[in-house]
Amino acid sequence: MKFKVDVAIVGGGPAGSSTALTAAKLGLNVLLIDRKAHIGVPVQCGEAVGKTGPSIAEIDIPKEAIRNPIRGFRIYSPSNITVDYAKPQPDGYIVDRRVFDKELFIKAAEAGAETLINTDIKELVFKDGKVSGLIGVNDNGRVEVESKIVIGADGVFSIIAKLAGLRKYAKLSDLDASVGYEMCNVEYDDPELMEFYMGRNIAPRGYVWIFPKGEKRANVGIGVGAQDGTRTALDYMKTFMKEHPIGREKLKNAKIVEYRVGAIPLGGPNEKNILDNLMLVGDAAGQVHPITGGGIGYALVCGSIAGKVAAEAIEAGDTSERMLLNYERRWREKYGEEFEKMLKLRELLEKAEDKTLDQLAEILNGQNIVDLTAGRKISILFSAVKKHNKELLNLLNGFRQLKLIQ
Amino acid sequence: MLIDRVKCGVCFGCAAVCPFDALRATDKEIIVNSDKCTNCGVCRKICPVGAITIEV
Ligand SMILES: Cc1cc2nc3c(=O)[nH]c(=O)nc-3n(C[C@H](O)[C@H](O)[C@H](O)COP(=O)(O)OP(=O)(O)OC[C@H]3O[C@@H](n4cnc5c(N)ncnc54)[C@H](O)[C@@H]3O)c2cc1C
Ligand code: SF4
Ligand code: SF4
Repeated sequence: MKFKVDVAIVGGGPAGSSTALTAAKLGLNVLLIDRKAHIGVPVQCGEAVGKTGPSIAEIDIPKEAIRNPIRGFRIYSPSNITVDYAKPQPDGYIVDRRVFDKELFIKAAEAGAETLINTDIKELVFKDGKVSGLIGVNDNGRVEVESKIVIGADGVFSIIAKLAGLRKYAKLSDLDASVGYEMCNVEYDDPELMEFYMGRNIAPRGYVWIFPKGEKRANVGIGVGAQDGTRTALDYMKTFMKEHPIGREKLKNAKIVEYRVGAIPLGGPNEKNILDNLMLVGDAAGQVHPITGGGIGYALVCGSIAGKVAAEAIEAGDTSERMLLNYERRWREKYGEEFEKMLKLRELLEKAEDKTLDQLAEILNGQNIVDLTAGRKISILFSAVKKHNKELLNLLNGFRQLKLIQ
Repeated sequence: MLIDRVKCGVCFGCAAVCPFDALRATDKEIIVNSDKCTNCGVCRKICPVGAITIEV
């Protein structure tokens, strides 16, 4: 099979479909490729949208995919001190990623993008040292694609990023290992609050989440930092379900109806996401919140920026790196600083002992947490922090150095 | 490096961290290039389910 197009997109997840939708609407000749036979399956995600990064007003969420409105969250500190945040109105959703990804993919196709599923891309083609297309395989045999622009939207292990030389390999500290379940019969506190559980013994360098999907169904999972190889994310998850004083009760009647394994990229964006004739978007570009691990919203917004820049470049007849710099500039203007700050904030939080996190939970409110994880300044009454509490003061001073405290 | 195909959930974590470019993936499995693999063990540390064994 041979194709000749303006834009060839590798990956039909949120990033790829969003790029394809935008580019197709702007009249480009687009080919959207995925190696899956079923877009959106398997689900490797907490399925929370709108709470990290772009708000629900900024992104188009397929209505069919919405499972449950979310008004806020409850965080359980290591000693189960709770920090709550609840808005009167929903400001996020738990979605069904199977439906979500597939609907976005269909919308791109309906807008005019050609689709090629079941097709595994294996090689980037270079002509005179510049990207000129792709080679892949599917059940019809070899697939050759010639394109003016290639988009790498191929996820956490992006072969396009690798072949383009824009990412060699991830550091262990840049990934969280994750397992998760879809469950029914979960006794969550409030169907409109996402629950988070933190602590060194619970989920080192990460957290356990219970995200309500309505009718006692939930997306339940864990992310943990890379381990020495003795305990796995799965072990920690099982321990939580059996032993956590609060989690155990909520999950005691729960039944597992789906099991997922995942790797969450938390290392922040690649230094560079463009070459002549090539852009990276979504997880492939590292556009994921380094603390929450949320990436769907960023993938949608950055995808639409990439789609627009592709259209501008093709119209101008110039798809050079210099032209595509507009993509890199625009998305970094929106999120670059936030990602940088959050990487540093994550480092600080990872170093903090459980005791310090408990004390932090005592002095912060939900709004503070929303602001901190969005990179906005919070005000704290330092007098509320006992003078002799050096660790907490150190942590807060770290926040201050990141300009996160007024 | 050996992958227990029953345990493996194809999360791509191992492939993403391999410093020796020894791993490739389809959507159904991870493919090991034993010429490139040095048995360094880095990938084992990220595996969420303990599916990786390092041969000695
Ligand atoms: C366990 C876990 C929990 C998460 N929870 C949340 C959450 O609650 N909220 C949130 O916002 N984000 C969450 N994320 C992050 C979110 O899932 C990602 O940021 C998002 O999926 C990124 O979209 P993407 O389109 O860049 O990549 P993906 O969704 O990974 O899509 C990449 C696509 O590329 C295809 N592909 C890959 N290689 C090839 C190839 N060689 N040829 C053809 N096709 C290829 C794949 O089949 C796939 O369909 C979570 C991630 C994980 C792992
Ligand atoms: S053992 Fe080392 S070289 Fe071999 S696959 Fe794992 S990370 Fe790569
Ligand atoms: S890290 Fe483990 S579960 Fe994930 S793909 Fe590799 S072997 Fe499979």
